[in-house]
Amino acid sequence: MRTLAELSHAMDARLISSQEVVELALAAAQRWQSRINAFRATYAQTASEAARLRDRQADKGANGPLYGIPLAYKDMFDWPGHRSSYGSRIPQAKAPEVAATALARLEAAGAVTVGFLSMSEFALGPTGHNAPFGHCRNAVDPLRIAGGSSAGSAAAVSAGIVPASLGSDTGGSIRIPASVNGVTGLKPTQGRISRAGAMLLASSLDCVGPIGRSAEDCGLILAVVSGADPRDATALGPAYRHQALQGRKRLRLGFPKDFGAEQTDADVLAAVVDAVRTLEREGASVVDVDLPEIGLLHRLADAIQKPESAAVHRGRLTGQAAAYTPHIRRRIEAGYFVPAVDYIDALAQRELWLRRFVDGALGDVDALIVPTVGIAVPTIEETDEEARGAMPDLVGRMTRWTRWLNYLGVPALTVPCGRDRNGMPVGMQIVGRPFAEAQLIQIGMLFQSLTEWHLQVPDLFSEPPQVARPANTQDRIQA
Amino acid sequence: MSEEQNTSNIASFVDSRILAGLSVDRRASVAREVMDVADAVAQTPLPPDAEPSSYLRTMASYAAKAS
Repeated sequence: MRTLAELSHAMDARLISSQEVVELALAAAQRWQSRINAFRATYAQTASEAARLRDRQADKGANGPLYGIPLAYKDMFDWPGHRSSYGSRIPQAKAPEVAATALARLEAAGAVTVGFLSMSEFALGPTGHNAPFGHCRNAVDPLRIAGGSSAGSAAAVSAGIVPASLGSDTGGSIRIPASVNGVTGLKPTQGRISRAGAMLLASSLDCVGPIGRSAEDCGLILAVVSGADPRDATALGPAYRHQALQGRKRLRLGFPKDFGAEQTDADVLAAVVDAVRTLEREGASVVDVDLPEIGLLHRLADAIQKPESAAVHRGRLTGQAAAYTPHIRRRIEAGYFVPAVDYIDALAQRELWLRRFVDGALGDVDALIVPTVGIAVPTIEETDEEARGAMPDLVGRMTRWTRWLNYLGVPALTVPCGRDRNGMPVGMQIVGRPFAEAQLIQIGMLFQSLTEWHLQVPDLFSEPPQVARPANTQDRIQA
Repeated sequence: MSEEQNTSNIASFVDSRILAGLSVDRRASVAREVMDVADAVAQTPLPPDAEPSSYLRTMASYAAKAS
């Protein structure tokens, strides 16, 4: 079995029980941990008990696409009895009594929570580096970054430990790790999924979203977690309804005329161009489009994220500044210096830019195709900001294709579409209008029906591959 | 209080609250980041009726259309 959908069908046919798949997931989590450090906590006993209960209920007819499926979540969602670490040395003050809305909805749909996953400290950083708990590592090559900030969410899916997970995305934190680990991830429309009970980073930009092996898997999760929520006034309806791959209508896809200013590596661009040609051969017409100045939108996103993050951390920084990893603290402190008038203007400009984008680049097409990460997947060492004392240029380039879309608030699905010069996964984003997730998922499913990039990772619950690792990396891997 | 004295007091207040924890190098780097943001914001002239909530209203209208 390779995808959540396949696993779900097997469970529906009673070929395998929830108890069996949960035990397999827990065993796989343990086997992979020394290699990729994807988990912060596992809950073996409660997961096994929940799985037994699901099996008994299934005997009485309970079912559904997620019924009895083991899932794990970025370590920043409320769950009764679990104190989130937020990837930091300052964990949640006390264990919550109520689950985050997204997790409560997954639980109600029958999913089984097996654990919580590694993340960048306070969800800040696109590489997956983490000084407090050790870096999460790429499941395809553990010497390379897992991406961030939802590092464990992507690595655990890529390794086949769980069929899907939840992450969060404020500037690319779902799409970047999904891309570099060769899996599929969805940053939904701003407000499509409730953020009640999720760690706050920058309220105007934060999104919760799924990571899975396939676009279909992301759709199955989105169908459960999306929709309005009385606990989160920014959560807007309607709930997404998942549909199987529909007939192949004639798609119109936008593709940027010019990549020059965006510093995209040639091998990454070649993989994305190949993917567009695959869709073209299937009848899609490809239209040249002018992008807005994405560097400018990136900085406008900064004008919002920096002060909002500083406000979130203000209290902790006053009393517990020493508990922050220095470069994370520096990143947050920059927000103190953005004038309130610039912050408000950046918010006020957002609607203008959104309309320009929807009427311009998306005006005549069903979706836009752009890279997810514009560079070949770097190593952990060459992007280690703490060790190098400054942000390497490579780190700055990682969010180049993602952060501007958080400013606009539009949905973007990343799907694996090739390999870079080092044999590492390359992802492309399928970008659409607000609340057009159904269309993006259909395009992703169509692409994945024509290609196998999303399947070029271990089967679910598999053994980690045996790869020789330089001796000097051993001591940085946590058990 | 003179304007100069007032400005100096405000600067001291900001220093004591925030800047005190930053090295001189870091202050320069923060200043560059903030200028970058300010430049970006200044590049787009806003219509007089633009306000932050207009984005939320527009998103709500997209949500309503999608229903």
